[in-house]
Amino acid sequence: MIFNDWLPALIVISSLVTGVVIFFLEEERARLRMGLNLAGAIIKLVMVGVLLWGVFHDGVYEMGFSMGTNLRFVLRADSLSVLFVTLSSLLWFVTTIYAVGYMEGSRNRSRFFGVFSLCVSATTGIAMAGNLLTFLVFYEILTLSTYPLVVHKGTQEALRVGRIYLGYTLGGGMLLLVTIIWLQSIVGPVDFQEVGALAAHASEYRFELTAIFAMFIVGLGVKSALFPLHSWLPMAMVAPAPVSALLHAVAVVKAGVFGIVRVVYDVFGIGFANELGVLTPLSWAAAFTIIYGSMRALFQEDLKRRLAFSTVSQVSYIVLGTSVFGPLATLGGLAHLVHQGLMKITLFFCAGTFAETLGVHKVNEMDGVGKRMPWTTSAFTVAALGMIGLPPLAGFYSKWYLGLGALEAGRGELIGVLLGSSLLNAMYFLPIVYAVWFKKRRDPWPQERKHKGFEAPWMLVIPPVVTAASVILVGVFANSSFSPLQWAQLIVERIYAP
Amino acid sequence: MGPIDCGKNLRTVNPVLLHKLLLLSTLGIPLVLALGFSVESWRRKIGILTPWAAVPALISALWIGEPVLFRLDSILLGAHMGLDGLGRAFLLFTALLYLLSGFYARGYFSEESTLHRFHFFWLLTMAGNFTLILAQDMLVFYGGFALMSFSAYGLIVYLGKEEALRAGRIYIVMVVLGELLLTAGIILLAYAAGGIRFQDLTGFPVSRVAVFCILAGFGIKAGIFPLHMWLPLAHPAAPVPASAILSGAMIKAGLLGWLRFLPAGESGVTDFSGALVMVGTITAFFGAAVGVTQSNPKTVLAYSSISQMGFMAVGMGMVMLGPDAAPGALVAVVLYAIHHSLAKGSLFLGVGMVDSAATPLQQRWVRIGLCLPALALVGAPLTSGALAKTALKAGAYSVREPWGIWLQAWILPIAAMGTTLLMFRFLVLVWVRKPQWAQAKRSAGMWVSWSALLVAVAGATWIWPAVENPWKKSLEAANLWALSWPIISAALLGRWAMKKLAKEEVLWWRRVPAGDFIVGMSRLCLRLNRMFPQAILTRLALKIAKVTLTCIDTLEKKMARRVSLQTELRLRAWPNVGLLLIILFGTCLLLIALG
Repeated sequence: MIFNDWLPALIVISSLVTGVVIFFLEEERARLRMGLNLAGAIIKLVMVGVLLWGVFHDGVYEMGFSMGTNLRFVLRADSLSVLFVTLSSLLWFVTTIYAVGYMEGSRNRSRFFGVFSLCVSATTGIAMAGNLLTFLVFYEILTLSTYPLVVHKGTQEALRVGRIYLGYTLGGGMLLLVTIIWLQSIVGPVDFQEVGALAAHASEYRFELTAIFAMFIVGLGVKSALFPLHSWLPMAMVAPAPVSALLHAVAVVKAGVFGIVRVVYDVFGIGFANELGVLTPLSWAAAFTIIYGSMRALFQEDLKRRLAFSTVSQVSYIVLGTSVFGPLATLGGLAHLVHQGLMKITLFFCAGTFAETLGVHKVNEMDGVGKRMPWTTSAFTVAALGMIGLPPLAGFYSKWYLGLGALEAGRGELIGVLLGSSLLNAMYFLPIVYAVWFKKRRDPWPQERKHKGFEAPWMLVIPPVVTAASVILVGVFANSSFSPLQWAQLIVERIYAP
Repeated sequence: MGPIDCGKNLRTVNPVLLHKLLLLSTLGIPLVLALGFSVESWRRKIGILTPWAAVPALISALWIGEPVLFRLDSILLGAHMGLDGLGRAFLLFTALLYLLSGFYARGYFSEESTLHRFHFFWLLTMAGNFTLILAQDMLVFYGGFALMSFSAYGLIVYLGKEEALRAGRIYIVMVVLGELLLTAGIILLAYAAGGIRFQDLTGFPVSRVAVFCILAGFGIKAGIFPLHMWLPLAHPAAPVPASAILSGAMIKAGLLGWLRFLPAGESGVTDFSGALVMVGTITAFFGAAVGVTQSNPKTVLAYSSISQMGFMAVGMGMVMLGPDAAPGALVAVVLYAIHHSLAKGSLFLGVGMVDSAATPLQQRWVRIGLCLPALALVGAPLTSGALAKTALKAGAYSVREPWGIWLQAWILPIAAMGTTLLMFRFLVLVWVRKPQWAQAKRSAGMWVSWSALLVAVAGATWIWPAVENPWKKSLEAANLWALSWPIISAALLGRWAMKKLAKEEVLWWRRVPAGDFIVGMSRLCLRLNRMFPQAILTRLALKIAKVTLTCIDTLEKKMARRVSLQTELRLRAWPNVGLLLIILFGTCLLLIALG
């Protein structure tokens, strides 16, 4: 079926086209721009829905063309891609609404939304890349398209951080390029396969493959903010709130982690990687990053910086799940890919709304926010409690399956890491929850903007409320057939298929 | 998939639809009402409905006779809920207490603009409490437990005074620690059992770490020494109706957790039996000893709760030996829970009655009324306490010799003396306490619900079907003596102590602060701080951590800036770019050639 072949490409193109059109739109045509944005997002959502249904019923969606000998450009949708594509297109939709509200009245909106769409297009491309080369292409496009978003404010500080961001990510990308070339020169072109592709070459190239694995992790570790490659992430907080939200929940950080997931499961194969002995060091790197990120978050006064370090920590849960051998840990890691996205995007939305409406940036300025903005604050509270991992919120399942997986692999000590991180999460989130609901407001807000009727413009309040509700729903209905957890289970069954 | 079977093959008793709906409404109604508070104009009406939200639970407990078990497929990991004998007993007293305290609260708070906050947290706490009672698997229980624990924070700090905030802080720290222990314990149990249902939790060797985590995790809620610190701070700080459910219902959730999670008689569990009996004994004595030194009647009651939970821990230690080794221990513990819950609930509500009594006549009635639960608590013959204590003592046979005999003949009776002294102290404090409120309130609701609770104290244990034997036993001559000598001697001791201490004005014994350890520790820290201004350890450690992290922060930023700036500067020179490209290209070629 032609439509089936083209569906992955159409999904990528849908936001690409939107982006390009918006780019050339005049600045004042806000309404048209919003219409285009939403239309693009909705069309994409519909197509992703079709894809989801098809992949669930073992449909094949693949298209590719040759770019030279041994160089093929392949877009393919397997169950893992669908998990990531669905997450990114849903959150893109929500973030677009938020961004329209957030950027209202600011300059260079056409540039912003154009690049914004490109960035999402790159993310979906990463999700559906069928081999390492295609992955690399979209990975680099993502780097380049996020740069204008990070420096969007155009201040000296933003430009400086933008340079740092580019330095880190391009460096990582370059290493990735070299690694891919090396790998391809040894074993030929590598397509992603659900059981891994490299096991056949195990005996010949043991040493080389170990080195290649390490280089992959370092190259991808930049974007996934593994210690010590994480420094760019907290600095990138100069970006506008919707960008931070997208960066932390779906786009950049997730792209890095998704790459690690692909390399471990679909390039090396979890069984082979385990046999090669590269998983244990990776799991310790992840465990260290989990604790380190949380420790750093604890001492941050700036709300967005605190959230950023929290991301450093939380994203490594996914890496941890990937690096522990066994279906339960994989399940925990993959579920966290979605769960962390939902929770973190909520937190960033809320932080942005607080900053926009009240001028609140620092944690110690948040006393009594709950009374002034109950809806936003409720959303924040739900997401924060989810991060701590309270049942039945989404974050609990990640902890639950990672813990079970650790036991399954005979790595019970990792439960200690998970609990330590939960404790630290409680230590840096609960004081905020306390301050916003139970402390009394004494001083006036730093910079309040009044709105008639509601606590803030609806476009800034509805998105976090919706994502917070989803944090509750995916947790409460975790066992229903299309919950992220069940989808992760489907992936796991295909990965560990005998 | 994997070793965790989430109960897909569960043969559920297909319950009557009505029963199922009723059970679901026990938690659904409070949750829906709590959500309704988000609409400002509904708040008053929902406030009126709040006490009624406990009615479905009470009906379920009274009406659903046969065990019910069902599975909600898409909820959580397949949620198992239902009502069995154990659940029914707990649901009965919990629902009754929430219902009556709820009506009591309506009179207790006069029209306040912030009352909806109290009601909101009240409903959430109630929903959590009912959920954990109806839970038939570990996740549902844990979810309900978390909801209850975190929502109760809002009740404890409701009055907003400094004291309440401090109590709340310590409470929430303990709650978080408990949650962590429970997470670890549950994960270990689920992995070992290969399932999350309570009925899966048999027939496998339980690791000691898991048992320890569960004991300590629920022990925090149950107020077991030395994890009891939050309890004597939180109870007096909370408003009276909240204290009543804290002591009457919520700390019993810790006990229920033990009963549900620890597979009695399995090897890892029996190992801890002796330890728990010992810790329970210490708790019983410790609570009584510190409690008599207190001068706030609610703090005395809080310590009495600690002491009584010690008794229940002793019982739990027996239950852990397994149904064959300790028959009747389970019944004894459940009886004790019901008895203590009703008695302590009415004592707490009674403190509020004393405060609000306007006329001398009312004052007299309150004081007389308070004697009933106090007598029940000390285990005077013909009260529910007598039943519970006799049943517990009977169970003591099962404990390894010579502990069993000691428990029976000395330890439990002496602990009962402690309870009597505590109640004596409490009544003395209440007798001299002046009404705290200037004018009488519209307190009909308080009177009705308190009286109803007193009736329940007098009657509930007598109609319980399982008590026939203990009932007869408690009236036998030997038992009568065994029950009364501790009471009589303690009463005499108390009377003597009162005279003596009043005469000599010995004040040392009033110096033990509520919250004993934690307060002692923080005072010690303060004193150390005064002695060595620079050397206070915690602050130092915190400071070091902060300085280190700030250093790391600056370092990180500098590094990042330098790396990128230098790279950028170098890159601006075209020859360098060319060189770099050549190197990159060369590496790639080399790699290809090698491969």
